Amino acid sequence: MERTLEFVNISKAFPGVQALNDVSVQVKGGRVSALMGENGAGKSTLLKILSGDYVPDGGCVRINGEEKNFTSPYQSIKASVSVIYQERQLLNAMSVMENVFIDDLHESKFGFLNKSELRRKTQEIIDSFELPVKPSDIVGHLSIAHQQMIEIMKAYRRDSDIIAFDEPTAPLTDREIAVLFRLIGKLKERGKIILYVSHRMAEIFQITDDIVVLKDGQLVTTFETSQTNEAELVKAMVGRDIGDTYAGIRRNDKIGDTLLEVKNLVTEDINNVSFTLRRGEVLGFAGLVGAGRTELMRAVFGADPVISGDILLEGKSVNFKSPKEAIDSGIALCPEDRKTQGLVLSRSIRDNISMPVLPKLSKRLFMDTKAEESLAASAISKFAIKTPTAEKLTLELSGGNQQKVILGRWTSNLMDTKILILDEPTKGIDVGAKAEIYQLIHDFASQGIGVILISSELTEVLNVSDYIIVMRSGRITGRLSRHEATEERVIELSMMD
Amino acid sequence: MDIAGIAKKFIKGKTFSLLCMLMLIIVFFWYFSPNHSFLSVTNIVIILNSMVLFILFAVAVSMLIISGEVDLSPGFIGTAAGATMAALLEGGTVPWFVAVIICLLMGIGFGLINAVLVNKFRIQSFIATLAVGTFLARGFSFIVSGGRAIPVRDPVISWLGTARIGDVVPVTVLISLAIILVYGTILSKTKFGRGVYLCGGNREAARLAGLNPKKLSYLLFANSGMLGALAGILFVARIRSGNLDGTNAFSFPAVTAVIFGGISFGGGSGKMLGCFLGLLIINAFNNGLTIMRVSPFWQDVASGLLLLLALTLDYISTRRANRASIPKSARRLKQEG
Amino acid sequence: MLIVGVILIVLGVPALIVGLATLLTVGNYSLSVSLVIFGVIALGLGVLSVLSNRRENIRRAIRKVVGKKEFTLIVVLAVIVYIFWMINHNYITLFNVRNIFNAAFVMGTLAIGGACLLIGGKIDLSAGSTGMMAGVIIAMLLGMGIHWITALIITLVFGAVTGLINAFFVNGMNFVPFISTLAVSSVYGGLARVMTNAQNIPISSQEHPVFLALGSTNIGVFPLPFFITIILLIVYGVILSSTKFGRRVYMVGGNSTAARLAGINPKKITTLLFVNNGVLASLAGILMAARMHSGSPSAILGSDLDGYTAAILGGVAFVGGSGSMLGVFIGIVLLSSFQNGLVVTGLGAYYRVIASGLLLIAALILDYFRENSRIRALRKARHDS
Repeated sequence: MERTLEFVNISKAFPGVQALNDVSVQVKGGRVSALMGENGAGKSTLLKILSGDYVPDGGCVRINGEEKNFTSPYQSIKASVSVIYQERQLLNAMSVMENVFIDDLHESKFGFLNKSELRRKTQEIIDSFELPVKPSDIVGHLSIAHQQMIEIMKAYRRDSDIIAFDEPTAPLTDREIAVLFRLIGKLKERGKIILYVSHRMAEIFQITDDIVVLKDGQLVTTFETSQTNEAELVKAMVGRDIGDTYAGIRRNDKIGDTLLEVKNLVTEDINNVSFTLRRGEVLGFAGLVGAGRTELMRAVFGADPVISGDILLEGKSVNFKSPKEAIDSGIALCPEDRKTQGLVLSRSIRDNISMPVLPKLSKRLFMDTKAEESLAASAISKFAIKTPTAEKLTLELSGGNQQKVILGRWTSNLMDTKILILDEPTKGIDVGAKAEIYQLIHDFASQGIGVILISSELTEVLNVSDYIIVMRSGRITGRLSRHEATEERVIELSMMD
Repeated sequence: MDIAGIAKKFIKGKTFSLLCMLMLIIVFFWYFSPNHSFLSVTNIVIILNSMVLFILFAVAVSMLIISGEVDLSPGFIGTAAGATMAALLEGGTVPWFVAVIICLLMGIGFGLINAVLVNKFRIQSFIATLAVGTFLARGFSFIVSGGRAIPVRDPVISWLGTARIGDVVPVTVLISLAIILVYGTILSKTKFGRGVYLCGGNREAARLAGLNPKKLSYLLFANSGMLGALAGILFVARIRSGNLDGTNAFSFPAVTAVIFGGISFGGGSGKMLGCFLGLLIINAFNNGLTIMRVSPFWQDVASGLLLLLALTLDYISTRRANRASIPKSARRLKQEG
Repeated sequence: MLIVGVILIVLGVPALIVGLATLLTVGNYSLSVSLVIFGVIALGLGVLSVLSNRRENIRRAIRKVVGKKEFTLIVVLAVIVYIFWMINHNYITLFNVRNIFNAAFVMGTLAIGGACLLIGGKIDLSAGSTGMMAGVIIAMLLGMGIHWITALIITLVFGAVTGLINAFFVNGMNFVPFISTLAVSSVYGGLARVMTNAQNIPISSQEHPVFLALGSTNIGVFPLPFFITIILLIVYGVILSSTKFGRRVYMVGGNSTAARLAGINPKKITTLLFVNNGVLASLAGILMAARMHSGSPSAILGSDLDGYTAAILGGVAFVGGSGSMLGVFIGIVLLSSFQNGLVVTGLGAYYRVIASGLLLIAALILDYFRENSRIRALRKARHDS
């Protein structure tokens, strides 16, 4: 019998965002089905509903025609579903075998663990994954790539009918990717249902049979992989209006003298990187996740230690020991993860905007409440932050508005920001808000601010930046002007060894 | 925001529910206490008097809890400071203010040990401060006092402990009220106070926005040690003797009172007013039970139950808030789309 | 490695010979025993390092043993014992060793339950007062003339119910365990005194000789409670290391989300741990009552903190997910022999308190350095790969 998996009219909302809206998809056994879409399209949410981690607001999941309403991961595993999460869910202090057999530790008679059996079975799986690790190795001591393979082993071992991979290859090297694809091929031959989420086009065309495209929580279309091509796929993913979004940007064309010069920078994660940023320039950093772009910027910002190399700000050598020193010199960083590094979610919009300028808002001993309120009010009106009051907690804002609060923090009139570093500024933000943020980036540039834009979305970094630097494994692998840069070229540079 | 909005927010807030609880307790004990003596001036002073040391410890601890840490040592530091005070004054050669300064410095010293263990060696503040408190500070007080209760005869110190303004309000009550007022103002009105909230809410975000969470943590631990020492000094001044158990027993109740007052573990939220109301509720409650001649043993039981009740109310209100917020936002989104 | 080994052997052999010779002839006890100890250790290490130079598997085995937390602890314990013995030879006498173990059983029993909870990522500060309540309850039940086995069972059920209450607060109502168990502790502290009027409740030796024997019977030279603690350590050690439930405790404590996504119910696990802790605390209280011939509304209070100290000394991580019963055992022995050693050396009671604190802080700092070096090694491995 052929296996089928159906999502029927699935909807799911989170505070401030409709993650999935009436999505219906059917996939079949013996085929690899890709889930494609931009960040925030709803792919991960769909997988989490499949795994029982989230309960949908509406709709249901059908496996082989039978309706399933998972309310816990346990039920989903029992129904022969395995999901490999993008955020690895490993027990770092425990051994490989205990991680692989996390939900099925073998017991002998008397209820004791059968460790030799566990070891033997784990070794078998390790052998089929061709990994140089031992079943008793502690997972936390392994490299990230090997940890990722352990995460995949967990699902492989269950021999589930349905296996979902969420960006499995991001931390893997080519060798492991080859092994993984071979294993996926075997699973396919055995008639399993395989869902595959990835941002890497080449992979999609290499191993998938069908492609399901999601956008902003809605199903766009489905393709047979052999019947489509990259251009058509990209068009479906980004939607028709995306070209207009970029075309509509009023670009800044006044690029001035050199503002920041980084020479031969070396840190724990960065290997000998040099680049320059000019006034009014939007400098894009492209690359895969983990290429070292975030780490590079944190080092420039004084958040992580520099081992060697020079940083020149307006021609003067600087050596920031803390973010505070960088901020005082006019550098601002909007971190990659708004919620854990950008905002203090339990505090109000006002508190989050005034954060770096508290000393300037002090009159003698006390805070100047009026000045602080007008600062917040001006940011709210300037960036059109949707909120009834500056007292609203940032926790309660949508992603786009949260990002605007951080932008408002760094560009208030009390700040003298010369360099604005934006790390994935549009992650998890809807299309409308993205367009606003692109325009803001160029507005900043036209004020003479040098903007560094880190983005993993290719179209974004290509269309918004004036100049593009591509990184891989802590090194710069390419420098392209806006006119030279094409998607193919950047992908090639960000993946080459 | 309009007045109705402000009123609505106030009613939903923690302060309001604490005030309600306080009113309930007051009305209850006023009605049932013999001759309605619960609200007599004498009794109110007794309640405030019983709060003096708690206020100092609770202020110290609440600053740290808001900043995302916890400190269980101030009670023990208080004992150590009290014993040191008594020992220093014993010979009669050390003037009182020198003794006070030495004790405060000692408190700061213990606080800095806490800070080093937490910040430098990344030891959980719970266990680090417990070790410093129950072992180092307690042991220190044993050694200083040689295991005996040293009487304190210094006139200034005894005056401090017993004097009453206008024969009604004890000086120590005024000191404690002044301290909670000052710290409340620091917390809500100064940039330092704002820093405490921001670092407690999200340490990394605060650092990336130019604040210095490490420095703040050192200052707060030192401050906590100093307030602990001050409480120890007041304790000695009141009973006029350095005592071996001293203020040890205050450490845990101070934390409980702070939590009771709506300053939650995890940091980033809470107000000094809540802390004060929490203390007032607990002390008024205990006092009421005493007036009604309830045995002190039952009082322990009752205050434990009171704490559980407060936690339950908190649980109910957060659950209601969560339930209310999600469908609303979903609704709003649909309207927009 | 080879040179070090050879030097150690060269030093060790004469030390051993001289030590043995003087031990037999001269009788300078401490010097010759020290020499023998040094000789054996040097010789052993020397032989091992020479061997490890030749064989990869031996080297790996050594590295594995040395890398364990428990190894460091045993070395520390050995050094402490040696120092105390040097100061006062009475430290290692049957009498004193018995003292050490006698004092350890309450703390030990509480440490076992507490360590299981810590590994599972929770904490219970009501264990001490639960134990105290248990002592009071069983004394009262026995006073009412109830058979001791029935009384015992009722008291253990009381402990289990306490655990359920704590679990309900933490799992059902999302209270912070630290604060809600403290509240329960305060309630019990008061109740115990209400029930007893703050007096000890004697257990009559005529009516309940069998029950009291639980506390005073000796098996060989050691008292029964000590054996009970040891048996519990072994049983819990086996449960934690080699049963499904035990491994799940580590999984829930180490990464509760990962455990949940793998179909494990973390709340079920932690509920069982709370119940278990309540039962063990009552057991400690019962044994204490049997030993003291009375139920006291002040006994045991505070021993739970000692228990946690021992567990943390023994390498149980405060944040959950790691630790072992072997470590807890060493922690218990370490803490109690250290405290006893300070008594034997004649150091004032006051310095003993400070010294215990320094020991705990030193253990925590040691942990920091070990963790740091592990992270560095990890980073290096990542760079190489």
